[in-house]
Amino acid sequence: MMLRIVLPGLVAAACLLWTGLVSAQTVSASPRRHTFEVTAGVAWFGAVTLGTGSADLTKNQTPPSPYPIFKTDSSVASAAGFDGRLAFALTRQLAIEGGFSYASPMLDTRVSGDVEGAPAVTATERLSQYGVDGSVVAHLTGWQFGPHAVPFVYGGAGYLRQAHERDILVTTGHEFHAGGGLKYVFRRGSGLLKDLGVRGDVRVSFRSGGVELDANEPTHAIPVASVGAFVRF
Amino acid sequence: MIRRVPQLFTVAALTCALAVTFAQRLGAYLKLGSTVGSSTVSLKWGGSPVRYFVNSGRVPGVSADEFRGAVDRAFHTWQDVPTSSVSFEFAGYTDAQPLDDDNMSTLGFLSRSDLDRVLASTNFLIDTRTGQILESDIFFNSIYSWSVSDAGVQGFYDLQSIATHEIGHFQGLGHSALGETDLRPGGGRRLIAAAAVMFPIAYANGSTTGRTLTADDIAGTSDIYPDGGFRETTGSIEGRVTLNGKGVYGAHVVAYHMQTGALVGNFTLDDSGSFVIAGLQEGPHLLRVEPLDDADVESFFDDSSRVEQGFAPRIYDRIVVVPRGGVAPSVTVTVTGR
Repeated sequence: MMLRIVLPGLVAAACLLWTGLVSAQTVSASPRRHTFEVTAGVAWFGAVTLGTGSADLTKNQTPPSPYPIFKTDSSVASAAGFDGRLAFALTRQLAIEGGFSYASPMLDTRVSGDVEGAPAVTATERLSQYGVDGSVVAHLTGWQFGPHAVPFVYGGAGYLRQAHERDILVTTGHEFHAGGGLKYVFRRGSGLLKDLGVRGDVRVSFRSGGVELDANEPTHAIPVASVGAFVRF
Repeated sequence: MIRRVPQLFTVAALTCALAVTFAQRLGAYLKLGSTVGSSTVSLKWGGSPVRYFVNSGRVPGVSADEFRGAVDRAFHTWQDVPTSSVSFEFAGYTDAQPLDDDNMSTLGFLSRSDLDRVLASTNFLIDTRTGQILESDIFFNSIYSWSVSDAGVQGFYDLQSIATHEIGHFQGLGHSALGETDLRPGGGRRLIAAAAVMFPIAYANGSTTGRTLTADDIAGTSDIYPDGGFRETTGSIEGRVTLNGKGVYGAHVVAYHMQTGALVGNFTLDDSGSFVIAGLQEGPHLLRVEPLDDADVESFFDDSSRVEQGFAPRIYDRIVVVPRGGVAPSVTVTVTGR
């Protein structure tokens, strides 16, 4: 439980320290102070292992013990989805960011080992997964790749909502995340729309809640990668 | 019209119950019932607490007081289900025998060597028009050795366990098929494992496992006597089982809760192969369909000739999500011949 809180915090703190020690570049791909940045793109959400289960009868012996009639192995499959972000630059180096994501992954359960020989199957169901999060973003201006590209790191927390098919049942949870990426500005402007660019990043999301099958494994680490186009104004 | 329901003893080895008419159509769980014209009404008590008497006789190793203590505990096991309203009250000792028509629901021992594979049996006097139970007696077969020990005793059947099963019938429940058996060389069946007190074949002597209700038992009693938000807090799965395009009658359908591991079963109960499994906790479930081949079909259905057994077990390839207080989208499970 400590990991999910400490890791994003350490990343953010390290970034703040680092960015504070370097001077801003004359021409920077990082956002100008007090500007907004809107990003829309696609994201890939990694698979989540939900653990194994067993449909157990009670064996006719003393003391009693489980007698499985079949076994299960479940996961939420990886899926592509939408990722949108709105950031506000406090300084050249530091921004706060809100994000929204949507994906529709499959919940897959491999059922095998049937006691009477029923064929093994993979039972499935499609989930709807929504995420809303907030992050602190540190642009690593000291590591800028020329005038157009700037790396960044970020960390934060969010809310997770996963709905089973037809919204029959909705489960919620929360997540903490930390990651990093690169922003590339390919067009600069001086009017209302100041910069256009693309962004790519990867993060690890530590999730609790949502669709859970094993109460003993409440936190899952999930890789997430996203690419998108951004505009600054 | 009031009549004594004839006992239909199962012949499985060490079976511990009887059947009346298996009534339920598209309700949940297999309940006992009475046929009225072309319809069937479920057996249930008209009010609570249901008063019962205990025969003052004794058998070796079990005094009348010990007998009463064991059946009291068994009654409380059912009464303590928070989602069921049925309750029971000890009315006193009596010299009356369990099978007497005397407006007294009596529990006691009888020596029935003619029923050498029956541990115990429940018998009803009912109003056949309404299904209301007027009297129900339970006898325990004293040709067997009985124990009321807390931990069970090897070689002796645990009275409380068997009473818990019979009291399931006493309140109107039929048999559950949540169990696995194999055939004994000398006839009858041996229980391998079960997940319901209401499975028709008892655990071996010395075992006290049958004292504890399972999700399947709780769903059953709560379906007959719903209370404590049972309808609002649980959901159901309904659907059909088909074979070669036709409905399957008598298929055993089991719902497995993927988070809690709870198992609740029911049967397809008409010629279209329709089933309902109610009393399910909300959440994702897997469905398993199997032929009724782990106990005598007569333990479950009056007309065993209608029960289709010529198909292979199958696990449905969709996860079925049960809503709280609602019904999951209908499913159709197609099975294939053996």
